[in-house]
Amino acid sequence: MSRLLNVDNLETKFRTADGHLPAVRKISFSVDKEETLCIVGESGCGKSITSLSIMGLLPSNGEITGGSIRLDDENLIGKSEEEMEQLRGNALSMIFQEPMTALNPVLTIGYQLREPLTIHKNMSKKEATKASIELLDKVGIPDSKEKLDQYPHELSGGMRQRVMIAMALACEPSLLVADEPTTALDVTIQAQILDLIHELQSDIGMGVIFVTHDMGVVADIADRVMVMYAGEVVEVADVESIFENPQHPYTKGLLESVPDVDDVSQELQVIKGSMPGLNDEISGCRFHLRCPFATEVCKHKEPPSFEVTPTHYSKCWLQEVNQSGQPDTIT
Amino acid sequence: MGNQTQLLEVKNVKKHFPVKGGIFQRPKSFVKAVNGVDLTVFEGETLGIVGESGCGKSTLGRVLIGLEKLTEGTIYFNEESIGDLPERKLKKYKKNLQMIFQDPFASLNPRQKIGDALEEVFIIHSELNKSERKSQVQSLLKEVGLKEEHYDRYPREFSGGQRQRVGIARALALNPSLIVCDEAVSALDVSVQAQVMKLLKSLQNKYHLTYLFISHDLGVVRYMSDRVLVMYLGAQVELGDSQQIYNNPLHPYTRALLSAIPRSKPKQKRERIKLKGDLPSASDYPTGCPFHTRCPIAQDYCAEVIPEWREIEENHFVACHEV
Repeated sequence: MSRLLNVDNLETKFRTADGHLPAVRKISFSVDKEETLCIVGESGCGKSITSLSIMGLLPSNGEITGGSIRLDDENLIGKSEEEMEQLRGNALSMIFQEPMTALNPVLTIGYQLREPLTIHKNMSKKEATKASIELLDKVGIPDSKEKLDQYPHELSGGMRQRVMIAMALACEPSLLVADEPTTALDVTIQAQILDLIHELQSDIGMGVIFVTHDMGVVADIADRVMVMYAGEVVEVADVESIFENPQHPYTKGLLESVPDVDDVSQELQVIKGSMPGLNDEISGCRFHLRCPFATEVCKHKEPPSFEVTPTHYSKCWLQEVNQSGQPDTIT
Repeated sequence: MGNQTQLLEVKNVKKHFPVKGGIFQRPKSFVKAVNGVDLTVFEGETLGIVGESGCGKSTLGRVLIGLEKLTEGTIYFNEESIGDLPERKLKKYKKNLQMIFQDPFASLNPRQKIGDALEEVFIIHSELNKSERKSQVQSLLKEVGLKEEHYDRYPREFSGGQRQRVGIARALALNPSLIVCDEAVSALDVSVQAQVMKLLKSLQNKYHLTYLFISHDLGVVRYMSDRVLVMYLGAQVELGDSQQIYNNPLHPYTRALLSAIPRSKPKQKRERIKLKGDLPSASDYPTGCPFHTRCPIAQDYCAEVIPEWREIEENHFVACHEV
């Protein structure tokens, strides 16, 4: 599969009263065409800021201070607002967690669906209306024609999220960024939406960045997984390796602290402490304060990203121990 | 289960909220948030209540500890009827019935120190003097895994997990016998969620507490609960031991709910039971079985006859015609 998105050494900072706080610390990753990359982590790990950086939608006090984001070999950093507007909703699309705050409450569903089509595809109103009906059918909204004249508040949460998806997919984007799109939904509705995103992805052949904190959702939808902690990528791997052979102690902790519905006897593991703040300067590995395996080197020296297999990387000193043939300490 | 003491007995409890309209603001219709629940809660157990948003699980919790007035039905606490007591008489029971909320920050005064907020409980409900109250609060803080120095801090200085610990300390202050945990760990990150669940379990063992554990997260409920009640649109659809509900779900809604949870096992595609459509609005309550509009095995008569609440096997109750 060919490369769609390449993020290299991305650094995003926020200007605050306490100075410039780094929310994303020099991270690199890529997404292939037709691939789903899940970004997982807890609140404050930088996963949403990463996706907003790609979209060029950072809040006014946030700025990208280094690195590059290349979509089909075109650097998105440094593009003017007009140039980004040409891309957003067209080649790049995003769906958000709370469709009610992302949809405009005083405009009809039809108006909001036609907008990307008339702007990016130069369609007439009539053509756009026809295309909107097809889009609503595609995302499984019944009575699509009548729905065009309704307002967001008249729809249920699941239906609103379907409308958001229809809008995002109107121009058949090459990259879809989905930021916790199912978190606010009930499980039965979540299952419907996950299936829908999966189906549409293979239809359109787009790459998807799916941001979530739910490991169950990750197992369901991801091809590859990127685990973030305190602004850094700590582990990247294909989805099977993450669940069957996790390497980073944080990934392990994350997996073991989720109660399993199918297993009563499970002993829940706890990651001690809580996520550090953006302005906490931690020397060495940013996880060492909470890590059960932390050694002297972890306190002083930041670990590089070690290769476990060609598709699996872990940013942890334990890998060095493993690779130099010393006893395996993390089983 | 037979030799356990009953703590709470709930009979045919209903809570309907009026929807007002017209110039005289007369009730036009009713939202049937809780529509006939029969339940016994035993001392020392954790009863999980699950269901999707709008199923009435939170309203049921609030009704049971007297935060909402009953529309119909009776509640017995230690064999005394408390459902129809006036506010004044309810006060002495409120000590025994406590609640932990989803967002403790919303229930804390941002300008009040944590220590002062917790002390208020003792000012209202006890006759301790100032220094006794302070030492009580400090031992409470330690009990929930906080430190004495947290006494003088403000809510904003606490992380989400620490705030929930404050919420637990407040609920624990008066040695209650029953605590309703309403989505108590839902807003927390998984690593912190596990810490708080473990804390709740150890406190339960230590003080012989009874929990009503309300959550939409079926994994969390399984970890916490001895028995589980599944609700749908204000009605109880299935009740049983955790084992029975999770290993042998009988009601089609419970089955669909369990099959819809994404499992942490990649590439192991499970057959999902797909439910059509959305939850009907509780103000436009379906006739017959409340679930018939979305049920994959619904028959004609399901739309007309309300299914009976039947005991299928020991301690395992279901409301469905087709089981």
